[in-house]
Amino acid sequence: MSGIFIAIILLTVLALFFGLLLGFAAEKFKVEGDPLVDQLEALLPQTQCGQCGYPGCRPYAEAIANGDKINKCPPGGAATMEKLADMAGVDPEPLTATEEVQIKKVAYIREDECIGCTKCIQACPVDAILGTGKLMHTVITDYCTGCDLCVEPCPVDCIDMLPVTQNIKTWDWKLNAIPVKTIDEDVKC
Amino acid sequence: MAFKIASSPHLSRRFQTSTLMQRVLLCALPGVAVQCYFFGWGTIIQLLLAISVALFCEASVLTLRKRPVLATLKDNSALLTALFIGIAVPPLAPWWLTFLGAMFAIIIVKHLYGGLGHNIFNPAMAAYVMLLISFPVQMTSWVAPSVIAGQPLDILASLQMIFIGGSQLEISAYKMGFDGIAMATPLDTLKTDLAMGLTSTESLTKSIFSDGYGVGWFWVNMAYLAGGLAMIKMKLIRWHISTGLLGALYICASIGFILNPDTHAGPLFHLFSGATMLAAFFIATDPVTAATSVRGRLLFGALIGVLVYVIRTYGGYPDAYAFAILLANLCAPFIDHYMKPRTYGHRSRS
Amino acid sequence: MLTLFEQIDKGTLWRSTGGIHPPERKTLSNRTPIKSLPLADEYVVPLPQVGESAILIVKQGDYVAKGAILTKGTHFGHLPAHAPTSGHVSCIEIRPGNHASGLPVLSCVISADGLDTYDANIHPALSTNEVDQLTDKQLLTKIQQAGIAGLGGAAFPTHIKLSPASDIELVIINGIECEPYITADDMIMREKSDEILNGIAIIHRLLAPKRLIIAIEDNKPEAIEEMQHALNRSSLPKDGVRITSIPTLYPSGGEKQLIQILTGQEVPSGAIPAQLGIVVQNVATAYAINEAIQRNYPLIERVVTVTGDNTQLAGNYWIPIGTPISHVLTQTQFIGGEHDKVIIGGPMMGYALHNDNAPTLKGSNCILLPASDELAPEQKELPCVRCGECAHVCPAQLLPQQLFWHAKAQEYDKATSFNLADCIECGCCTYVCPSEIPLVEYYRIAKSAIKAEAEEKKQAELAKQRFDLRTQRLEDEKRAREEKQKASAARRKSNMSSSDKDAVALAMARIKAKKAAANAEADSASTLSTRSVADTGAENKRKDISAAVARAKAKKAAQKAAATQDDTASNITSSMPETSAPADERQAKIAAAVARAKAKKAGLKPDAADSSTANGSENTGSVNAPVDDKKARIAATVAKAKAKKAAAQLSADEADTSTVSAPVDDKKARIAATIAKAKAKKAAAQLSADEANTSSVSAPVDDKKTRIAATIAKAKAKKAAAQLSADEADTSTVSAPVDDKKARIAAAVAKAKAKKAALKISTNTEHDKD
Repeated sequence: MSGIFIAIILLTVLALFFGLLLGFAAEKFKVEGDPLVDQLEALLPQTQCGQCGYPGCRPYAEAIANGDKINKCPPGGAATMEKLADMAGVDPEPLTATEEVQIKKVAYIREDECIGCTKCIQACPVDAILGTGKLMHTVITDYCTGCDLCVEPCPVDCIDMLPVTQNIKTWDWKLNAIPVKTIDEDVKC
Repeated sequence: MAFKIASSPHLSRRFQTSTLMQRVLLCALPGVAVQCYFFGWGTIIQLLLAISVALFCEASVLTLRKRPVLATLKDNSALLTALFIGIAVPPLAPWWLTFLGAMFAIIIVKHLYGGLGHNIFNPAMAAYVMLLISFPVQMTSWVAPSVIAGQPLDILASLQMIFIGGSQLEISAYKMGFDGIAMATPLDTLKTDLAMGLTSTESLTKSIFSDGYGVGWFWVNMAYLAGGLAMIKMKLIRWHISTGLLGALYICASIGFILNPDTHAGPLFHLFSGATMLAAFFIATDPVTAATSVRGRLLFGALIGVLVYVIRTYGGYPDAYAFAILLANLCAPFIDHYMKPRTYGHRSRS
Repeated sequence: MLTLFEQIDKGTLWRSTGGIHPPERKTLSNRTPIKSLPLADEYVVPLPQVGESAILIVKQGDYVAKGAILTKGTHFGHLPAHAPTSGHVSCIEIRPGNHASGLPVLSCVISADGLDTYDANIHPALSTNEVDQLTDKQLLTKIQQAGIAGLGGAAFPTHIKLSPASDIELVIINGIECEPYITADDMIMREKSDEILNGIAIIHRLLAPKRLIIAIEDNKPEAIEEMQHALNRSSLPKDGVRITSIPTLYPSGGEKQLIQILTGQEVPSGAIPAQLGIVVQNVATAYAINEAIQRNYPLIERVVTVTGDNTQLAGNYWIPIGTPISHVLTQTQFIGGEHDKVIIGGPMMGYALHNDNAPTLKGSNCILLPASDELAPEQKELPCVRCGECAHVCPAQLLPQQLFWHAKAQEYDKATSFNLADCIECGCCTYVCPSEIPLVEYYRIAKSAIKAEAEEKKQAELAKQRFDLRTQRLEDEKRAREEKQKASAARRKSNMSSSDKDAVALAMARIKAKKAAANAEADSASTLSTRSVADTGAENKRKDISAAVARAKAKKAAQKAAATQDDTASNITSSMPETSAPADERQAKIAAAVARAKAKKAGLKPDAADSSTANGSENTGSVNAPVDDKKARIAATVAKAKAKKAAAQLSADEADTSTVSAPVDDKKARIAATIAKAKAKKAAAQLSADEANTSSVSAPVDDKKTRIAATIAKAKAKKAAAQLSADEADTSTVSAPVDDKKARIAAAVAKAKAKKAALKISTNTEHDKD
């Protein structure tokens, strides 16, 4: 009989002890806020292109945190998708958009064709286009995220998305991969 | 004019894996020769058997994996694995033992893990352990050294023994030492004797220990030691693993011997019996499965040394290199992770 | 315990980790004195800084003397480029670069005149006294203006190194030259030791270090001897300056390794030696400094080792910077071909040149021309067996094989955690690798990928900031607008409450009346107008714009309608009366048709439109009633299908006005447009006439006009109405405000027209086809 009591008391004591331990751990290692959204957002390419269906990268990060698919970010490509999957704790999925070769592109305005309508300026999510009404516009390529959003509104279709060219500073050292652009020997002035 | 493009450096030492393996093989030869001298034709037959099976398996798997066969065979790694299997199995063990071992080593331990450079475990040792725990009887009946057995078996008798006569009954008969061809290894003998209550000194008076370390085994070890030192001299291997191993074994054995000389063999006995030198210079130093940094390698070797001593002294098996090396293999990534060298310009590893 | 300086004075050397002993092969090129090459026809001076921190101060066709400055920069780190010889700037263009990537760079090409005339700024050597009188600032300016960069290979601007922020205690003059084959520093030390010592004296004066070590590898005994003699002859303090011989080991000539060997200290990761109070300068740099200070002679030539089995004249040469490599190859009897390598730099760290049109640079210390079997033959990469040799030879004490795994798997964050950034790319690991793995190549790719990733991250951060700012701004604007609206609404309310409500109704009535008047006047104006003034410049421009818009739209539509493109004009007309669902398709088709038509007659269009308009306006007088009727119907359909302008257009067609509708549409637009111009001239007279007419025409006209107004953009209508109400009081008498009003109406119409142009034109096209 006393054995049962001892067992009960022992278990109660143990339960109390572990309960206290858990409570203490919960206090001690409490995580402030929801860092998941921040972490997810940090993985997104910040093009603010809206191709995911959300108005910007932060809203999409929030949507992922709330259970949306992780494969809606074409600018990030497969690499970003995998990181998102890893962070969100879900399985990687193929991208929704048909995956083109992930070459970074930026917008260029063919300036002699620009009519100065300012529509692209309104469309640019990062204010990377300079210009005003009736005056020629131009893209600050350093700020351009290549989101494509300015191409559609242009009434005269004078915006091109051109791949960023490599220069000596951005060269990736892929000796075998680069198409070596050798300027013709007979280049003369 | 456009020219050929290549990445720097444009110079190379021109010392390839195949050459390295080849040199290691050469350095192992003196030990193999001494072993053959003491244990007869059986060793050579097992070697040839292991080598042919290993090369065949390697070629088959490479074909299946659609890898270049000849080019890869030329790296001599399968040859080296086969060599270690051939000298590790008892010289008169039945042929299928070696066959299984070589196959297991090449197919399962090496190629299923991704081939050369990707295996976690030393193929030869993994195969040895597999054989040892699957066929303990066959694997522990070692041949008596020719000096004790008197007339060794000639080549035909050895062949017959290996390929035809290896029935269970006979083997166990040999094990019992009825006809004096087969007997336990010195370490096994010592272990049995200690278990029977003899002191180590008493045990070491037996004929098998006539030169203090076990007949034949001392010279085998000396030969491997010589080969190992040559390898270090030729920079085929670095000294760290071997030193760590022998040092740790010596220290452990010394401590045990000082504490209780009656139940422990001396440090030199440990160093020169069994497969100590072979393991220390040829097997533990297999780079694929060892730790890589300098300190990591010292630790890796020491770990093997300690494990060997512990298993030899307290474990159920007489010699323990295969187990010790496999266990250390398991720890290698862990050791590497915590034994990163301090990079130039970094004050501490934080 | 000895202090560091005492140990240095004793000549103590510390052990550096790793390192290899590759075959040196220096005797190929150090047996003969330094020679010069004949002048090349043209020199190519790369100008990488131009466009970033510098501008070019010469232009095509300019004459430049040898040593003339070509660029000007404001940045502190700017190094001017100089003309390596006298001649004319034949062009400034993109030329193949002397870089591992082979990517082209902007270059200034100088065609040599063969005279090699010196620039006026270069003068005979100053005496020691004169040099002593220069201030430190003058010295640094001279060094900068001479364009002196580190000649060891990295080409870091020397004047920056010589004006450090902290105190310098130790200066190391690097004469190690540990790379195999290269003997340029060896030879310059043998031949120009006094000049080098003068340069060192200038460095010594600028930095005032406690100790100065000239470090030379012990495989150059002649150089050590020469330098020792020169040191004895020089004015440098004997107790603080010493020459130290270093055991031969690659890569002890690396800055970090040399510091470790000479002082036992390590340069902290990511830091520069100056943080330890140490500055390292190359011997050839010291020589260049002397030339710059004494003669004002800029860095326009350097000693280059040309060596290897593929040249028959191996040796060291004074080669002007900017000399095309092809010229050097020709002059040194290059016997290799396209299947051979041309290596700029040594065999360990040099890069293979893509094209011999590239010029030599300040950092090009060697042109290595190996025969195909001279260096390592190309080997297939074998699996890593983790032999660890790479870790043993790594001078940075990295774990190259771990880096390799991670770099290969593109796990760049892990590679970073193994300190990939501390790799100096010396190539020792690849040299010893028994599996022939091009480790350094993997590291370089990984490093540049990490750099690109960091750059991307920065970019993303920037984009986020800008996006947030923009969102903020838009919100602010919206709020401001709302507030303004609220304020004006409140004002209106207060106004309304104060005045009689009837006044509003009155005002409305007035607006209506005035609208009618305006329309009537517009109508009559159009009827009477002469078309001669219609085609003003502004009109043309608008047409251009609308044409451009139409073209763009057509392009887009053509893409959309690619599938249905085949069925064309006939389908379009036949399927007209269908409802909104297929309407889109139809629109697309119409647009496609426009595209086709547009491509042909974008230019012709205005003329065609003009002529049809002319017809229309002529007709107006006679067919006034039916036209009104038509217009009314058009307006009705427009009102119904306002959202889809194309549909409206189509329904106009549907009303079976196919022969007339286009001119009518056009006419309407035209009318409005003509108003603008015609009115400018004859406003007053017209107005009075209109007013007279108003009573007779008002009913139909009013109807018609309001509808037209409705078809025009609603916003416009509002604006116009406002305008009208303002002008209303003066309608009968005053011409100026009416002018104003008309101009506005015209503008509104024109804008609407610009929008609709495509559709109209499409109708025209259909019409033409019919």
